[in-house]
Amino acid sequence: MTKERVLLGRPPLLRQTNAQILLRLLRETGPCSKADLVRASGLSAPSVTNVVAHLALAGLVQPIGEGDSTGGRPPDILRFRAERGSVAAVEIGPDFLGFLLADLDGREIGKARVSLGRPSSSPPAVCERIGGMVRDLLRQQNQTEEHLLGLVVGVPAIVNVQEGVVRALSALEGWSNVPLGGMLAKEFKCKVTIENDTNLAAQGEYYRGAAQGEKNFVFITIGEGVGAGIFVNESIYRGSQWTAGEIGYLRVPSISREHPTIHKYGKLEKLLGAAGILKSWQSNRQRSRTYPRVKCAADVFDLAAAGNAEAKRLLRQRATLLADIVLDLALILNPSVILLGGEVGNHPRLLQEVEELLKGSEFAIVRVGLSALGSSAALWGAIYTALDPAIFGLLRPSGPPVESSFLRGKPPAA
Amino acid sequence: MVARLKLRPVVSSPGRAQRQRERKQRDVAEVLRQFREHDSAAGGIAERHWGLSSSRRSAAVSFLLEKGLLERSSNGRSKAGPRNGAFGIHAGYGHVVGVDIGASNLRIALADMNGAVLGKWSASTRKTSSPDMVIEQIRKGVQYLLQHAALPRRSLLAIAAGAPGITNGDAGVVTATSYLRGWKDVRLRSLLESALRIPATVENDVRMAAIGENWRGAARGIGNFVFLALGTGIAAGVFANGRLIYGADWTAGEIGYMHVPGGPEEATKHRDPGSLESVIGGEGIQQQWLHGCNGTGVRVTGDLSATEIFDRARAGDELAERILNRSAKMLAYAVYNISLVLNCSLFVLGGGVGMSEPLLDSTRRFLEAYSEPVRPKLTVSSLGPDAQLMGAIRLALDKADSRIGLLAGD
Repeated sequence: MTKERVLLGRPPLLRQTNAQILLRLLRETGPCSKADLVRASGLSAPSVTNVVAHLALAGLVQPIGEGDSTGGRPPDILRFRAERGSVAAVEIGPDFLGFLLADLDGREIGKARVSLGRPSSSPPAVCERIGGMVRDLLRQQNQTEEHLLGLVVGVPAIVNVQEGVVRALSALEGWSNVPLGGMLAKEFKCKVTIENDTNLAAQGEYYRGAAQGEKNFVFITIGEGVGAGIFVNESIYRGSQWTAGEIGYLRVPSISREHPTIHKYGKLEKLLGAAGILKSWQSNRQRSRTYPRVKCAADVFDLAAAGNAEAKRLLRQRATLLADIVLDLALILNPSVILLGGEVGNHPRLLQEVEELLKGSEFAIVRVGLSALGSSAALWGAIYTALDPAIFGLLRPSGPPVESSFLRGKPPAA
Repeated sequence: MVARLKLRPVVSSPGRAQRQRERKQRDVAEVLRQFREHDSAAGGIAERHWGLSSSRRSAAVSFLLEKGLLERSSNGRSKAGPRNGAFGIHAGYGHVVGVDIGASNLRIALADMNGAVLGKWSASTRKTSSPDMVIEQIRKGVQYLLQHAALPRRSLLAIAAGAPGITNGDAGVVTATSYLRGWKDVRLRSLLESALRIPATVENDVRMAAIGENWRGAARGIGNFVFLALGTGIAAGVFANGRLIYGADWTAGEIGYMHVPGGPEEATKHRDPGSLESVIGGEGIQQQWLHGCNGTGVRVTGDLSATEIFDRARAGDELAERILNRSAKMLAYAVYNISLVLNCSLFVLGGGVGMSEPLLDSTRRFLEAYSEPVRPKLTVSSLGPDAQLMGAIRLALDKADSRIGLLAGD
């Protein structure tokens, strides 16, 4: 499984650790002098000089003139060169491709969204479109491919992140065991990472959404499918076979309680997902013509908010299912917050209902909240995932990235 | 012109000497950790396994040799020269104590620096469960064990204790437990440290057992697994990516109230056994048995333990079989749900009820029926009742190691 990267004590790597410390300071506090860096980092003045020279060589810092003197020679002010390169985020949806381009400060510099027609949704066609769109976005910024330092792709499927293989993507045809990472690596020279979209969305919320500063939290997405991104000990947890968070199959009591006819449990996802809610509504409509027509699952919840009794009943039912999921996750993981996202999950009425249901249980007190980034959570998570490796990749003396687990001679994965 | 920013130091800026000291301390701790992880096979640690440069590693090793914590092992055959292979932890350098504070028993083990148990001691906590009394008993037990092994008091380097409740390891406080009377916000670590005058670590008992199984038991070297303790209550110790999960309030894995199908429908009140606990906890099983016996009126009602009831099921007792089936089914649901969330490769069952073989067999059968999309592997604890004690010993050894690492700064 993914090992935490441990930087070793060899001199080049030590310098890299120091470089990371200084870069973080520069990125967080803005332009400052070497003396400021010495004070703030606790590193010695010669080390800072050494590392700053290294960073300047990599094009990551730049002197921008003299600051105010406090008596002696005026200090050189340094700044982080966020424009040194860019990182790209791609989201493959059931019927669209989303793109976001950011500089090394994580500032958005380009954005696009295209729909994905049926004939063009085969893996090679999708790769080609991704290649074309990312190059377009770069061109709009007058950047060449050399500027692109990292590409992270989110996929609504189980992903072997280490090998960049998409296990199965039910929404699209021909997507089973697709080596997407390898295919895209042929299009781009930079580091390419493939990740599950829910895991990315969780990281997006951690980066700049509703989970900032939370060390342990869960992001539940309810849209077409149901899934969870699990954040423990300050990082995404993916499990032994990359399937952690597959909560669409959970067996909770309210299914049997509310739906005595449904014995197949994989249906939790089918009930709670957007399609399931719509289907229930439509089948009720056939019985009684007084029901208003709806376009999407969120409309049903809107009707509930407006006081429609039947919509309220349906909402209550789904909220009960969700409350059971929330409770089980809270007991197993004890997260500080559980965020609801996705087309269905992000509805305030659903949250309100779940909160009411959970009020009764004293023992699993967990805060439940809404995703702050909405539909762009996964893209921002991808940017977050891409940034650090992109920046630190510039600092490596040469060769591909080296992780300590390889140096220690342990097999990369069990 | 950019205005100069006044930055406050993010960390206090230590001098060069201080930094070197800290680095040396880290190196020593890391070298010791490597020897612990590779256990008795210390002779087989090849150079590539070390996360340190050779000069820093040798400095740390020579320091440990000089202090007497490492020794040249007599039988370690080295392939790569004496520098790499021929050392082992000197077992007699010092000793540690591991303590398991249980609902009914207090158990203490004394171990050497290799984790070999030199002696065990136990006492009942049924009548004497207040924190002060437990500490007094631990003091007595440790004294007895030292005398018995003919060891001086100063050979003790550290102690670790586990309690059956929510335990904040950072603060060293047992926040709450329903198994010991009078235990609320007990500062167990400082109580132990002042009673025994050695550094102490405290941990939740189930997590401690998980550490034991990961170190020397059924989950040796496995980074993602769940230790399920089934006894009076039910709780899980979860390892994710090689680290324990604690959660935001130290309560991760308290799954006694988990909602799975087949449990009692009515909402459970706090302090009552949880819905899962009431069916597969030891007391829940006994109650089902007594209830069933009373119903028929003909059966001999005995004071059977949960394990004995499960054994009767195997012998063909109908009521016992029904209870076993219900327990196994709910346990299977719980295991299945946890494995969906965590995708862990292994579940290790432990605790009084968890060690029951009929329960394991039936649960496996139920699990096999749920084929999609995960197929969790189930096994029983190989350390049995000693899992907690082994975990405590490992924690105490880690504590001792970090103290030895600190010496490197002097």
